[in-house]
Amino acid sequence: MACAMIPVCLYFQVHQPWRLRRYNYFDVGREHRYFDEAANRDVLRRVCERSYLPATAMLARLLERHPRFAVSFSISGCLLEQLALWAPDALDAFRRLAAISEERVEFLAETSHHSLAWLASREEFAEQVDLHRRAVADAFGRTPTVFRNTELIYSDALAAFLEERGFRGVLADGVEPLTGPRSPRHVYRASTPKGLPLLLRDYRLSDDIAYRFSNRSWDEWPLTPEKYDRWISRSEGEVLSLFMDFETFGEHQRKETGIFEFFEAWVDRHAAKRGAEFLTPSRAIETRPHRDLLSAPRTISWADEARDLSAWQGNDLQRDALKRLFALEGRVRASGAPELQTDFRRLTTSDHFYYMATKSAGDAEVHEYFSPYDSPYEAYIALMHVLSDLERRLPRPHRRAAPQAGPGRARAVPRA
Amino acid sequence: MFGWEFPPYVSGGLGVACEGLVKGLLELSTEIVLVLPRPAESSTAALRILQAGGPAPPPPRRRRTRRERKVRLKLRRVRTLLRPYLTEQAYTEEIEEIQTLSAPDVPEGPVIYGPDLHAEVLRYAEEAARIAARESFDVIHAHDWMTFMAGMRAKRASGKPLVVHVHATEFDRSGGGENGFVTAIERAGAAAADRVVAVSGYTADVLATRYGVPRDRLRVVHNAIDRREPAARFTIGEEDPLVLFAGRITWQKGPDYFVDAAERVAAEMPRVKFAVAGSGDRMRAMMQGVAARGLEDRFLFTGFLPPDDLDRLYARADVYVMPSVSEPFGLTALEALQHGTPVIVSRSAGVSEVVRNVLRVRFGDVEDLASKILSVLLFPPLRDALSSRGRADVRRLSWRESAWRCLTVYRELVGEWPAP
Repeated sequence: MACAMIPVCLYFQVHQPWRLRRYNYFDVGREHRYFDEAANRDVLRRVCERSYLPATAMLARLLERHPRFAVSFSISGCLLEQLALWAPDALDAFRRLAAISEERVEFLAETSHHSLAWLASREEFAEQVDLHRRAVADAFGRTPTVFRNTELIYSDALAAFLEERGFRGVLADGVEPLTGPRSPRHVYRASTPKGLPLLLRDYRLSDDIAYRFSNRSWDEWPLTPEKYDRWISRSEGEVLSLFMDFETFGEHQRKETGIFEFFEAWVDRHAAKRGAEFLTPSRAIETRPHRDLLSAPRTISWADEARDLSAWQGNDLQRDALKRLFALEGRVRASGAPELQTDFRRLTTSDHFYYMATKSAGDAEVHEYFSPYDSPYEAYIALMHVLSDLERRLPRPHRRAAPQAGPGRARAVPRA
Repeated sequence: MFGWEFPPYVSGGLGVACEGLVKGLLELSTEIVLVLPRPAESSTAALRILQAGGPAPPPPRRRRTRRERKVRLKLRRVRTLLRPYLTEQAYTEEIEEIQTLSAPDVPEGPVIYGPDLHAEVLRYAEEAARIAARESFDVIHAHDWMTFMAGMRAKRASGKPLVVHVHATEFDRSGGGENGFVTAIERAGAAAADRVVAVSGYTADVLATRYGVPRDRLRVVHNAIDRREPAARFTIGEEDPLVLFAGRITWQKGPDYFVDAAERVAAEMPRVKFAVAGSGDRMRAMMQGVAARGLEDRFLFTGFLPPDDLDRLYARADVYVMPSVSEPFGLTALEALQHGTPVIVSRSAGVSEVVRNVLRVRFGDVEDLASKILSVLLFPPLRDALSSRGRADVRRLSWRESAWRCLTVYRELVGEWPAP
């Protein structure tokens, strides 16, 4: 008799950024709309058609069919706003999932703007976390209690901050700097005063679906439900966490790859087994033992080969842009102007910095896949000019008198 | 190999590319008989430089040893004014101008000017065919339209396969107002050739779509650049930002867009200066454009610069701009990158197929061009990233690799492929 089958914890990230328009130097001072409404709407509609609508329909069928099936989502505030504007049908589809079961469909907490705020400002981070909590409550009538930070950016300090604010658990990638020799398939405790429960992604089994599913040069291609279930069932541990982008279904892996049929057949197959179990993150934290205390010596994430911050803060362009953005934070807050707050927060979204990465080989391909720009430099240029304009809209700091130079001419002089 | 420009007589990328390929091929143990219209200096055992036509080269000072006489380097020259970038009209104008001024790239000594461009090409072909009949070789390689007829005649005389190498097309040079004579030669050369080598995917597309060259005969061999010691920089006026345009001042290179963008940049940045290195048939018009916009005190026209001075200028410039209308490759972009100078090129330029770390603009989008110039000047992290990463891009390139690609084309033709 084999030991009990490992429960599976599914979490899907659902997010779209507010992509910038091709903003150039001459737009500064004359164009205060920074975001490419048409492009964002088109991308959203496309992703809804290809992914969100068919994928939520698939999950609805699975939830109806299998009383023990459970899933969780983290939906960014950016996406919630865009859905409300341009795809109410898709927003309803998520609501219908929520209505199927409160226990088996969980919504996680994150920042409202899928942002890098944690890296730059605790104050802004806390505000965005609160904003997101309210947005999820408004949309689904639930208050999230388990946190996942942007792209699973994680550190001991983050865990401590979250514990302080009353979260019941946090998600991270199960990478070696954090786990050491341990298996990611347990609930651990973060290195915080109370040992905040920590759920770790099994990145191999997650990426088998999210990244490798349609890769014909992968020696396991084609991945069948039978094969995948064999791998799952053979896995030892107390909880197996499969975390991935929701866009895996139909967008990153197109319908033609058979991703929908694969996933549905795998769940059918797995759920039919005696003792098979699916857990939401909250249930996993409630029911599984909390094992060792894990400490992250440096900040980790689920991005790129390096699984660190280099996807968004790996070069001088990215560091310069984030620094300049957050240099405006205080004045934006002091202005009290909601439209300035909104613009500022949309600029904190990690994607803007992700587009500026200058990596090579495999990582570069992934960055290029997501980027709407011709090059990382274009991404930097657009954001920097937007920041110039945003800065000009801010009330002057009290201490300094306004410079005498007329608008337009003086701004080309590099600022100190 | 039928070449036209070859150092020390170089007015554009063709001569540089030709030299680079020859050197690369020599490194790969290829023997080359190079037929040029003008005398060239170096001759080695593996490289014989022949001059098509004209008077015999001056005798060497000392008696050649037996070994030296055996080297397969002969020089044959056809004295002509023929240069690749001239339109027929410009050719006539240049003949007139040359009588009054001596441009630095015009060779010394007696030069026989043909009465017109047609005659020059035909005469070169005639001479080249005679040379080809005497020489022994496996493949004929002809660079750009001036030598295509020579290549065709040589093919007829020898029965050897012909490779025509397209560094630029008349379509690039004229953008529609094509010279029927040149286009006809290009078409004939491409049709007669066993392989057509293009300097970029962009040019391969032009050849396929506008010249009807079948894709299976087209090969792309990108240009490269040799590693050079970093140049000393000009230090005059160092406190002011400097934007550089370098190359032939012809319609193809987009000088008008440079001036338009300069006007917008100058209006935003009080101290920025613009340098224009090179000459060409649009130089006067460009100067007039500068004057009409009141930018005389912002612009410096250097005329044609010798390579060392151009290097110093690249090194001094804060950004190099190549706003070409149609750019088959754009070697100067590699030269600028080699000096760590950030580069802005037209989106379609062939050079952007081999380097990633440049800024690209849609041709004719003056606002975007001006914005990008200002961005490089305003944001040090951008300038530094383009500089260091662009330089690294260039270090990965070598003429040897381009030569190797040529060699694989030769091998296809002589049935040696796949080569050991």
